[in-house]
Amino acid sequence: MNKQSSQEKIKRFPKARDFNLAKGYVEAENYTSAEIFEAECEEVFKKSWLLLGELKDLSEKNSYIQKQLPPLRASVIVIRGDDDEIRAFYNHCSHRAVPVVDGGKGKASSFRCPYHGWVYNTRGELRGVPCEDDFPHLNKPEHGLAQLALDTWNGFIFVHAETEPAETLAEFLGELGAAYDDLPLEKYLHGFSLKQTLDCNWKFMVNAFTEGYHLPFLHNKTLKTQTATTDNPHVHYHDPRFMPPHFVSTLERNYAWAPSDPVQSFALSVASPAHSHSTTGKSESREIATHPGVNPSKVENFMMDQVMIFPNTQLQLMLNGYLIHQFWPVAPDKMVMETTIYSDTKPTSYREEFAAVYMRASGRDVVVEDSSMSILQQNSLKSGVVKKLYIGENEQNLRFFAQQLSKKINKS
Amino acid sequence: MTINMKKNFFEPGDESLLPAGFQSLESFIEKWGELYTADARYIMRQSSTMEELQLFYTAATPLLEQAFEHLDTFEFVENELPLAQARLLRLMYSLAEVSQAIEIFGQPTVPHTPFPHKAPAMEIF
Repeated sequence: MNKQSSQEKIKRFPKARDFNLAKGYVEAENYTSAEIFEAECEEVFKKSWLLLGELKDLSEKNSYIQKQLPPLRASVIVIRGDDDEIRAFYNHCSHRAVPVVDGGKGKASSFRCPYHGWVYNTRGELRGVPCEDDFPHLNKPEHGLAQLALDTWNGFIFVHAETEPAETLAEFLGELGAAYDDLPLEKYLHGFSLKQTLDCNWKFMVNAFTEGYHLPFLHNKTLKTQTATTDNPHVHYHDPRFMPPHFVSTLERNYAWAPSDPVQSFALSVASPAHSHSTTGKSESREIATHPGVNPSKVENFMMDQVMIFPNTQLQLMLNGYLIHQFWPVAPDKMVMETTIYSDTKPTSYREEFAAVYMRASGRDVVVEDSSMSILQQNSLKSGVVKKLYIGENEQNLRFFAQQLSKKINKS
Repeated sequence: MTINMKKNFFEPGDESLLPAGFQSLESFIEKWGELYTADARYIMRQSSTMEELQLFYTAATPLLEQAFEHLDTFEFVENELPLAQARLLRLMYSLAEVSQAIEIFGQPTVPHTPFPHKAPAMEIF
């Protein structure tokens, strides 16, 4: 291919300038400064709806999910009460602030604080205080668990740190919420999750998961051949849709790719057509891909819509499954990353279980490639020598994300 | 899926170590056949030399199809495989891990990742 024709082909991909995203760098202090980190927690995370979990995990009365939300410095419990209402609470006993739920998911008809035995019902109301006579100054109805705002969309549970948020979840999700409403996700019940604490700023991982420019290089042994095509060698994203503060792109896969090494070939022949993230791949379902909001520009070799729900959740909608990445700030140089992959099938034979074991190992290694880079970036910033991090015209999502964060933090 | 957590003691040459047809993998049991979790396999892969990885890969890969033809004659129920079959299955899970080093990266670790690297906590559902 001569230079001219290669440039012509690449021209069809939108650039940052097409969206007036002119600022081609981010100041390095955005990844190191304690003040900026605090501002992100206060002005962004405490003022945004945050995805906490899924209704799938709360299908029965008295079921609960407990989750740590690091930028809120809070443990939060979501409970489906005995009245079938779903509510979110801070996991602090009203007596002296000990967490009343120990962790994870489960079912309980009441919650007893392990310290002095105060008991709450599944509606968060304070029901029992041992030696209650000694608390004449306590008005029980006022001392239930402190509540957070909660709402749901597509089976996802969102919470908001403010009891009366300035905007509803529907307003917050806006155009994105409307475009992707009623996604058929209920039947995707099987899969796996990864959770890791990383010594890097949370935005480094958001960046890694919102541009394709690094795929042929960092992932040259893993994702490159599966994604890069002859007319899109730099894995530009298709059809960027900016729905402030959220953003979406469509990604393609190299359908011509087929594994050649024997173990990978064996695993993928069982596990999945090469264009799916399915844990077993048996599913022929294409319901997600045919949803009217997905792949609106009809990219032929569709891989996924990458839906970035501001500030820290990425939903990847694929042919026959979906994936959620969450990026949680813990400190300027520390984050928690959670990844969950959902499929509608699960292994029913040892051969399929082998394929699932293979897919989990290879999926883990790709996430490790990205996290290792982010940790190296964070280390490099310690010297203070690097002042700016550059963002190309082909990395429009990074420019947009930096712009949206900066708007929230520098309210002027 | 976790398989039989009980440590299986074995003697070299014991015919019941592996199902018939898989005796050529006996010498790999000690290193690759007693790993019960993805984390254990990941650490063993990282801690091994390319020579060790290649040796196991070369021996086990040609038996992959045959192994699952045999294993899938058994009902797919957690912890229900006979000891020899469970051992064979664990060897094949190790091969899934080892193949990442041999077929994908050409080195034991994920590039640019310090050794030893603790895998992200994994939950299967």
